[in-house]
Parts: sequence; structure tokens; C-alpha cells
Amino acid sequence: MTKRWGTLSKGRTLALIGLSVLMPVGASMVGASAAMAKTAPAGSQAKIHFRMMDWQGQDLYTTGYNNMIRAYEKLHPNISITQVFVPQGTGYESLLQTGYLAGSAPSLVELQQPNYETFYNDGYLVNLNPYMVKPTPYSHGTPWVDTFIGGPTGFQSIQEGNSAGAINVVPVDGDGNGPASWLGFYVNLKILHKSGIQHVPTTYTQFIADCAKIKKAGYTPIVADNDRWLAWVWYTLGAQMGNDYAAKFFPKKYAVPLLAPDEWAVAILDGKINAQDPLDLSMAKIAKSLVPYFQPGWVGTTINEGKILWMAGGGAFRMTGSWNYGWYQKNVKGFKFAVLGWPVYVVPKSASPYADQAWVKSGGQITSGWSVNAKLLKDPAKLRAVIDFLQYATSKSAQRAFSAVADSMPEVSGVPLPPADKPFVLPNSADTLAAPASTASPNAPPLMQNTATMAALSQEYLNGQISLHQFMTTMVADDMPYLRTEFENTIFSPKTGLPAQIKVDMATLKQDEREHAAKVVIASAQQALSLAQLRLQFYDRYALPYMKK
Amino acid sequence: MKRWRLRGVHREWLVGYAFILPALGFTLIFDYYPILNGMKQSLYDWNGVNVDRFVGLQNFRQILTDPVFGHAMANVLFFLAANIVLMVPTLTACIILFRLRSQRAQYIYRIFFMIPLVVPWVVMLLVWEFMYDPQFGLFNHLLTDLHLSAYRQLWLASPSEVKWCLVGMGFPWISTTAALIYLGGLMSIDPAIWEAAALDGAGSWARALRIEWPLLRGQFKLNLVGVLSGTLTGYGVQLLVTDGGPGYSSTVPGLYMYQAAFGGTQGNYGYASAVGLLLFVVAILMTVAMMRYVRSEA
Repeated sequence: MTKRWGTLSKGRTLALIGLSVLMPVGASMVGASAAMAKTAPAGSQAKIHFRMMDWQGQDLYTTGYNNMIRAYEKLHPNISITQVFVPQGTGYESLLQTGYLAGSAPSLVELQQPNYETFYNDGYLVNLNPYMVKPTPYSHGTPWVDTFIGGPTGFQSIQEGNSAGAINVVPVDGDGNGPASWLGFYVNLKILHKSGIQHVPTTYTQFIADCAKIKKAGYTPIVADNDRWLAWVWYTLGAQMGNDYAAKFFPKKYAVPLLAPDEWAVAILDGKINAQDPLDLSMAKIAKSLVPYFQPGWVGTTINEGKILWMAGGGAFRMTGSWNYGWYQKNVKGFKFAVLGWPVYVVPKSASPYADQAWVKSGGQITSGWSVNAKLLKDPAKLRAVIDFLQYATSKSAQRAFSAVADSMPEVSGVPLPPADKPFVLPNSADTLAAPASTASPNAPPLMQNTATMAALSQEYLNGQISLHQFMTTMVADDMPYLRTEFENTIFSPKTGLPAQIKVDMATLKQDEREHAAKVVIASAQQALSLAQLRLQFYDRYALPYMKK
Repeated sequence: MKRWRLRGVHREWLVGYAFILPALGFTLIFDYYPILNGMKQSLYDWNGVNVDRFVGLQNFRQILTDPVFGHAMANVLFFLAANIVLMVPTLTACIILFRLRSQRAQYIYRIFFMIPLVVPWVVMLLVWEFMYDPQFGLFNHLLTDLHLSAYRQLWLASPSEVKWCLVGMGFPWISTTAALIYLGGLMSIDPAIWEAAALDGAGSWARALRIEWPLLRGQFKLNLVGVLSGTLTGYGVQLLVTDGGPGYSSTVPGLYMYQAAFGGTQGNYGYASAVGLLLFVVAILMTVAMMRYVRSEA
């Protein structure tokens, strides 16, 4: 399974303390229940065909999905499914964007953060909450959401990514749900041994020392690339440095994790976080300290070229963004390899005073999965079939079969973890390192708000084309127009702005009360409304004055 | 009677217009409507879906104050200069081909010209990209084999070399389409001119400079317009090979536009439309200026 770290957004991964997970599920149940009611009854025999699109081209995953699809088609002879493979890095998101606009996107699409947030907020994806709270035909009476590892908690960051609190993806193929480490570092043991290293490093300090030894022995320590690797470096630094850094600039009443991304942004706009910001400087310096260990010409190396280089024995460590161990086991020739797992990248205080010496409590947070095209709301029979397929795909039996073939981490409880995946799993002891769920990490240098310029600017800085000072000032210069536009839309947009959202929340609440909805639903609607009002108050007070300047 | 004839004439016109109507309609829908819509959207903050807010000239102000756009313009001028200079090999090759007396040699030469046309452009680019690879690439391997390891380069990974490497990708810079246009022009020259030149004792250089070049000026202008608009608005090579990097070293305005629309997590189509409109204006102005200059020299 491949993850694209380059698209990770800020402040989305932390739990929302004080809010029960089921509340937002309940809140948006009302809005989506109408759609659910229109779906065709189970067992309909009309011929149905739908397409599902993903980026999983690896043979093991393809086999796993093929087996799953064929088994499902056997169970439901009236349904046929075509799997469409579009490799990442070939415009996967652009293809979808145009597909959704044109109404030609597949019924099921595998998405990752933040694309499912963007596409959901644009109205292209189905809110799955009403289905999640009910048992599936395969769950023996257990609500769907409870069958996943981590239960409703695993969907928390997904729900925080949209104003409706909607679950809009269903994880099927080893997202890293549960206690996964997220760190797919593969290690060429032959190079380590030739460099006089007999162990696989287990701490950051050891890792850096080993890189120095490997370099001294004449080998490349880290095979870097100019895209995913960079994003990973920033993400991993941002995820373990500067928790609650932005919140300290504002009164305590705004210290709500959901507001954290807004706080980072407003703090930049009003100059509280600026080109001299010590946290950003610290992250930038640590990232730069790794550069001497990259291969020559890393800045021209694409993701796939990096993979080829490592496979050809061109370097010791490679972060692939993948825990598809089985594929590597099958395809790596000429040397033995290992997986460098948790907690190598816990930055110690000796590296930065802003190090939290902890990894954010990411375990259990789902960051990718299958989304249903909202166009199906007009085709209830097909919608029912697609949902049923997803429910089948996340049944224990289907997950067991898929995991065994694809060596992927199961997504549902009660399915054994394939032995090959064990090195990727965060040990229980590491939980003690996790930061409290109430805090908010920036998940990248706070000044790196404009994701469109992140790769190029990082390349310039790390490659020595621009100085640290230029890097910092350019990030600030890039942020200003970007944030102004974002804020203007947040406050003034008639369709997506906060006042419009508050109106919708108020209407939802009134409707819930009128219809005597369940207490949890009403409480959740009230909570959503309060949050939107708090957010607008925050913007009015702290962003508006600077936008008028 | 006269009235009937007029009616007949009108009917003929109507039939004629009916034949061109589909082409006209599609041109208006697929060419002119997007251009006009792009002009409108350049004045909006538009994410392609639900954010569509009028911002006046804000997008243009932002573009013109963005140092990356300035950098991209400088890069594209470099590529433009290189591409204009690199029109010469095609022109020269065509003149040489035309002068070949052997029909068989001409045939082989033409085949040689045409083969690149059937190789997909993307494949050629990827092959070149692979040859430039610092670790596996042909060029660094050759340098090593020739005991010139000290001269190994980072090629596309070097900010100072990347633009030259991209220009080098077209080697030997023979454009098949341009060659066909030149050959068509050469073949249409009246043979009497060559006979007169031979009688006057014109040598190779004199023929090239005083006959072939002046008579091919029309074809050259046509190709020049293609090079101008293609270079100013194009970004395919940069997108596929370097993604504008390292950093912004090979970013061109077209890629800048593409990245504004598709580069971040939220498409900024209004801004991208403004970049596109600016590029359109620059391309038109430069083309008009170039055409006037070339004509005045005639």
C-alpha cells in the first residue's frame, strides 16, 4: 500500500477532545438519511456494473482485490465490477478532479488525505455515516463502524476534515489503521554490514551515527527523492515538534484542536509566527542536517527513480511510504533487507528544544480508503450495490483473505496480522511516547501553509540554492496571499463561508428538534453549531483586522 | 425570374453555411468559449467548484509581484532563444536534402527525417531523462568508461545545468513537421531559378543565402510562429522531466499556470486563468512583433 505523504494537511490527525466520536456521526445522519432511504432493497436482481479506481498496481494487491471482486460477483451474479488502476504520480488527483466535474468519475475511488476532504467538501462524495452506525449483512449485528480496528475513534480525523463530521472513506487495504508506525523505512543490510554496522538502528541518534558510518565507508546512507521524501521529512518533524505551539498565542477558549489549523494560519498572518520563528528554524535546520547523507543528484530523483536506485543497491535507507513488505520480499534481489521501525524518528531534545520527544497519537487514525461517488445518490440501486460491496470487503472473511494474499494490514478487528507486517507495527510500549490526544501538532513547519510551493521551495533550500533566511522569508511571502484568499473565503464565501455553514448548522438543529431526533443527534448538532460560531468569532477577532490592513 | 435566381443563390449560400456550421460551432464551443470564460475567470477567485468570488485585478497583481513568475519568464526566454537558434539545423538539413542529386539518397534521407515522427514524444523524453540520470545514466557511464569520472555531472539535478540539458534533449534538433514545411517550400520553387543561378555561377553559399533562404522566408515565418507560441505557452517537457525543478530552475510560465490549477490541494483556477491570459497576450504580442520584423527585412 502506498501512501502519498506529500498531500498530508495540517492539524487533521489529532483527536478532538471533548467531542464524542459518535456525535458528529449522529449529527450528519439526518442530512444523509434521506439518501439512504432511497437505496434499493437488498437482493435486487437488476444488472449492475460499477467501476472502482485506485493506485494499487502492485501484483499482490491486484491479486487480493481481484480475488475479492470475483468472490463478491459470485455471491451477487447480477453485479459486475471493473477495477481501474491509475498509478500515482501520473495525475491521479487531476484525473479525478476533472472526472468529478464532468460526472464521469468511477463509483468507488480510493482516496487519501487531504483529497477525501477536498472532494467531500466540494460535494462529490457520499456521507457514509448512516451506514456506519448500522450493522452490515456481514457483521453479525455489530454496527459497521465498530467492526474496524479502533472503532469510531479511527475515523476521528476524517470527521474533523469536513464540517458535516462525515465519514467519507472506508479503509480496505492496510491503511495503517490501528497501531501502525507509518514508517516504511527499508534497510539494505548488505551496505550496513559492509559499513561495519551489525544492527538496525532503533533511535534517531543511532540512525544519524549509522548514516555517518555508511558515508565514511563510501556508500550512500539515504536514498532520497524530490517529492515524497521531502514531504515525509517535513511531516515527521512537524508531527513530533511544537505541539500546542500556536495555541499559546491565543486565549484558552480557542485552544480546541479543531481550531489548530486556523490558529497556525492566523498567527502567521498577524506576524506572531514569522521568518524568525524558532520552531520553523529548528525544523529547517534538522532537515538540512540530513542532506549530506542523500545520494548525489537527489534533487532530480523522482519517487520511482529513488525506488529503483534503492532496489539496485544504491543506498542503505529508503523511505518508500509503503509497507508492502511482500512486494519487496519478492522483488529485492542481491541483498537482504530489513524494516527500520518505530521509534527511530523521535527527535530528541538534543536535536531541538521544541522536540516533544513523542510521536503524535496517530495510531488508529485512518488516512485513506474508498469513497463513494455522490452521483450515485441519484441511482439508489447502484448505491446500494456499491455500499454492499464495501461492507463485504470489510467483512472478517474478505479481510482475512485479502491480508493473506496481499500481506496487508487488516482493517477490521479479529483478523490476524500477517507476519510480514509486524515490523511496521508500533509496539504497545511506544504508546507511552504518544502525545496527549488533546494537543495539536503542526505536521509540517508551520510556515509551510501553501502546499503548492512546498516541494520546489524545499528543493531550493535543501539543495543549497537559497539560504535559510531566504527559505523562511519566501515561505512567509508565499503564505500571505494564499492565507488572505483562504480567510476571505472562510469568512465571506456565500457558499462555503462560516456564516453560510452556521446557517446550515442552525437549520439542521431546528430540524432535529422539530423531528424529535435522538438526544445524541441534537447534542451533536448543537456542538457543531457552537464550534462553527467559535470559529467565526475567532476569525472576526483575530483575522479580520489583519485582512483590512 | 430574377427573384427565383436570387432565391437559388441564397439557397446555395445556405447549403454552404450549413456545411461549415458544425466546424464553426465546435470552434466556438471548444476554442472561443474556453478562452472567453478563462478571461472572465481570471477576475475571480475560483476553485472550479464552489468558490467563485470576483476579485478584480487581484490575480494579475499577485502574478506580477510573484518572483517565481519572473523566474519562469526568464527561463522561458532562455528556451525561446535556444529554440529559435535551433531552427537552423532543420533548415540546413532540408537544404542539403533538397540538393541531393540521387533520388535514392533523398528517399533515405526523408525516411530518416520521418522516423522520429512515429516514436511517441513521451518515450523520447523518458529515454533522455534516463540517459541523464546521475547514477544509472548513459552520459555518466560513458564518462566513467572513458576515465573521465571527474567530469561526471548531475545533469537534470543541477540547477545550473538543467535548462541546457532540456535544450539538449532535442538533439539533433530536427523537427519533422518543420522539415516537411521547408521541403514543400523548396519543391515549389521554379526550376528556372536554379538554372539561372547555375548559369550565373552561384556557389553553394550564394545559393543558400540569396535564393533558398529568401524564398523559404514564408515557411520560416510559419515555423517561427509555431516555435514562439509553442515555447511561450508550452510546458510538457518541464512537467514530464523535471516538474520545474530543481526548485524553480526549469519552471516556465505554462508550468506555473498548471501548478496553480493542479499543484496544491485546492485548485486555484482563477489564478491559473489569469496566468494563461497573460501568456496569451505575451505570445500574441511577441508573434506580431516577430512577424513585422521578419517582413520588414524582406
